[in-house]
Amino acid sequence: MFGKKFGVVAASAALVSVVLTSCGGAEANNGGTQGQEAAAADGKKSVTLWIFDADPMYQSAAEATAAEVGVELKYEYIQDETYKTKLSVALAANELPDVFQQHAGKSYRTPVLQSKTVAPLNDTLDSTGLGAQFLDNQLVTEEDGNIYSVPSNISTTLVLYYNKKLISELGAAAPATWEDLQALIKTANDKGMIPIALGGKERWQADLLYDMLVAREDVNAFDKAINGQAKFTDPPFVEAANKVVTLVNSNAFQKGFLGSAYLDAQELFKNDKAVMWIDGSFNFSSLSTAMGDNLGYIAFPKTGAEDVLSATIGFQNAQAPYSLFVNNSSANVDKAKEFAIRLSLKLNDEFVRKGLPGYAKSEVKSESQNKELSAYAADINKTSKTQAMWFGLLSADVGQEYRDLTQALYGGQLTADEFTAQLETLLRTAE
Amino acid sequence: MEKALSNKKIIALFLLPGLTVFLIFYFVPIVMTAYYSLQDWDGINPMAFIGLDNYTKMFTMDKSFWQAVWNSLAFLLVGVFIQLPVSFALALLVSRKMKGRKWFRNIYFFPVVMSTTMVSLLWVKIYDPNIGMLNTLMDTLGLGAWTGAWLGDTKTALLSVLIVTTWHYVGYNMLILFAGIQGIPEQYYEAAKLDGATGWKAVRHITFPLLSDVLRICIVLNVIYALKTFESVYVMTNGGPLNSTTVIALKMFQEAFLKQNFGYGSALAVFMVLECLIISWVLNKILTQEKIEY
Amino acid sequence: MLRKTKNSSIYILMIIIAVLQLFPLYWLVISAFKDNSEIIGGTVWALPAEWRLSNFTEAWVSAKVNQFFGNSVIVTLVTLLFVLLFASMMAYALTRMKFKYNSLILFILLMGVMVPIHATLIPLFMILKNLGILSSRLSIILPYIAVNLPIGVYMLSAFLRTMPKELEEAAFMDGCGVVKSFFKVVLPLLKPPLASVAIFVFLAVWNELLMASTFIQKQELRTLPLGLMNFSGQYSISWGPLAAAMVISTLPILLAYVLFSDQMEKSFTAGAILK
Repeated sequence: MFGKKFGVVAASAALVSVVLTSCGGAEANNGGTQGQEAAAADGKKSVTLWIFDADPMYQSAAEATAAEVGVELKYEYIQDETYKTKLSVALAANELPDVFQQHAGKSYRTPVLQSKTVAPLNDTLDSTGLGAQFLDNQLVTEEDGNIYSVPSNISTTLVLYYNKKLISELGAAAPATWEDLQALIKTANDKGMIPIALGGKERWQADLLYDMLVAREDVNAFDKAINGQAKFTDPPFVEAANKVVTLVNSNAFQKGFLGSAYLDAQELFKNDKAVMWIDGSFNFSSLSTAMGDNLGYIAFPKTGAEDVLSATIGFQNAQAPYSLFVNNSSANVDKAKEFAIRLSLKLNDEFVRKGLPGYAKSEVKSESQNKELSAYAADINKTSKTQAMWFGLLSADVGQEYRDLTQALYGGQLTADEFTAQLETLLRTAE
Repeated sequence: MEKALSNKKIIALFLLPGLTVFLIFYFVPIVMTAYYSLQDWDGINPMAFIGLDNYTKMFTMDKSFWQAVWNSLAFLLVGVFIQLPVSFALALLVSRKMKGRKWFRNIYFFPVVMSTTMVSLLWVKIYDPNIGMLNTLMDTLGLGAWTGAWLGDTKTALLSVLIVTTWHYVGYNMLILFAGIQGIPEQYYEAAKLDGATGWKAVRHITFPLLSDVLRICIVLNVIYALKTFESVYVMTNGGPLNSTTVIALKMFQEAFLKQNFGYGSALAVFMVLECLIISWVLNKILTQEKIEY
Repeated sequence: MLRKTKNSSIYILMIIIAVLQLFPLYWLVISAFKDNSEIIGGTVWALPAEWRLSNFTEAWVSAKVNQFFGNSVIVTLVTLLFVLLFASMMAYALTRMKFKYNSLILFILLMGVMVPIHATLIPLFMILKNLGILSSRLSIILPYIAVNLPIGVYMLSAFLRTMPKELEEAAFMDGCGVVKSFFKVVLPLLKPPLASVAIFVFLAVWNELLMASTFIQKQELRTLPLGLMNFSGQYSISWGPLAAAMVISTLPILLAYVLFSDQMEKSFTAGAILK
């Protein structure tokens, strides 16, 4: 009797352990931070890398870097919106990959630094001599005097792209002023084209456009208001909010833009459905690959009192750039550090190759003859101020609420006055 | 036998494997959620005990919370009062003795085998106001005046999501009800026929009462599904536009993992647990009462 | 005559509903053969100008749909196996065996039927982390087993209560132990409700996205919903390959359904007996 019973127990225990070990085994074979066993087998150390940029350039650069450093690469692309939640989970659990990308802006950067899970890179930057490659102010030194990240993208600013083919079909020119912009919106609507494609679902694109409109009213409006020298209910903020309302009411954006995902909206622009597209300069390379000569660029029009070259919205790599961080509990942290630094430089080469202003010295020659890019490079050198995107200056939860608020403005739920009043309350208490 | 069934070792052998997994991965986490809900915690820095502040915030300050409660309720009501009657009607249709009924049954059930994520991604494209199928189709059919922005409009977004969940799951309930109808012996209908009860009368007096148990199961399943709605909303609208489609589960997810308010997210989770328990208790009361009436 | 018109009008109604159910899927299939300009610029319901297979190769090779599909199958099967085994053992213990906390355990389990799994997400994360299994398949399999056990125990114990004890007693008389009589006699009798539980659990696990997207960190371990979500991010730009990926991942399930639809309907009938 007992023997039989014991047999069943033993059998089910064996079954359980088979399943458990087969799962555990799968994990071990699949690399990652615990992937040492597998990596050791062929004598190569492995590095897991998380990237949220869909641009294939990242993968090829990472593969080339891995070959250079002599590590086995586990490249993992994770969809942007998923990435944000995933990374906060991984930070809380200390389950980070060896190297990971993080978004620009303080709200994304601070949690990473606070989690104390990332390794300082100073030693490797010095010992390899690679630190000297980076241009001035491109590596962020934190309060403790250490450098924790290397850039994964160039300083980015908000620009207005337009579709040259559609503009010429409309017999119009790229808008230089608020009146031009309104006229163009009307012409495009009359011809059945979408004037401006906007991805409202993720909310950030609409939020950046509002930041830009405020900066065009008064370059220093945000700085003054956030420092308490002015209020968010002051004229520049109200006027910009009114302009948003005007844009929405004149059908400047595609039907249902509040529910459109960023990438879907971008597709409307790329496929000759929408005339204009307001996005970061980081997208120059992928847009020009897709659209060729059809892609036009201008600095954001003079919609208010300030000149077009007075300011732009974006972020400087000196503050809180798109970054690569290295997990300090990575099994082969030294290799990971070297990998991250070399990847950053490799990416820089790619940017330079495309004719963009890089963040480090590069021996690569620009292959691009793109006039639009040269125009952008010239403009950005002349632009007096880069106003950091507001979201990047706010904490994670206040930032999200700010985006909810702008969505309510775009959705017609709030008037300009109600919006600015709530903005004042939100950002004032946030301090 | 009685003795063997009271043997502690045997009881432990049968109970412990499942119970251990259940306790560690389900019960303990729920208790921990209740504990976290009393903390101010960003998941990285140490927790700080703040008593019931998270709950106060939830009930008094958070505007989208009540929107989420209402939306969850909408999922529940549509599940029980629209999807279920439609499923019942379909079940009646496919249980008629006619040619090709098996094909119809298979076709109606087919969307169920697709995963929710896939169905949602598909419908996002169908609803797309600029390149999607729906508006173009309506234009062609001369319904141009009725085209809309669907998921992009606060007025239609929730309805659009509800249509998708109904489309997706109507076949599931249909099949359960169909199976129930098949279980009703033929003699009942024949006897009723002699009494002159055919068609709708037969349905009302025979099918309906005899199916009451199956219907009860369907109602319970629908309520569970409705209150647990997450995937479809997460994929189609992510709660937007302007929170018009948000549900508690999604809000909890966003608070915890996007805004890093793990404490507040836990409070929302506790609310969900209580909401589900209360609703199922009420449901149980109502349904057992109804049973007595039959 | 009247009857004939009635019949044909019912047919027409049923066909209309069938079209409503199938049209989105028709659109999915034709889109899988189109390229982007055709999808955005062309007539939405027209057949593709050219039956391109490139979307399918792209979905298969670069999107690794086969891998996602395999992961989903592994996770679902392992979960199913353990839920069915544990739930039937627990249901048997709770309905047939006598011990002190019987009703308390049953009560806690029944509460588990109603509690949403989302409520466990945050602490589960910490538990999995401390057990060191975060980011392996176990990190979703174990919670899936745990959350699906209650409904399994609920349905199976309902069935067991209505099942006469004579057969087990006879087996016991023949010298089988409790364990042996459970596996030899009770378990085979439980087949119909087990099939109902299996369908229920299958749908729950096959669709689950929240836990998978939170706990599964490695690309190789992504399940189908998670993989498609990600694929949609990378390729929402090109709806064609995404549609192809969806078609590929639906086909095996569809095939399985067509093959087993009779058995499935039977088990639904069995499930419907549950009170």
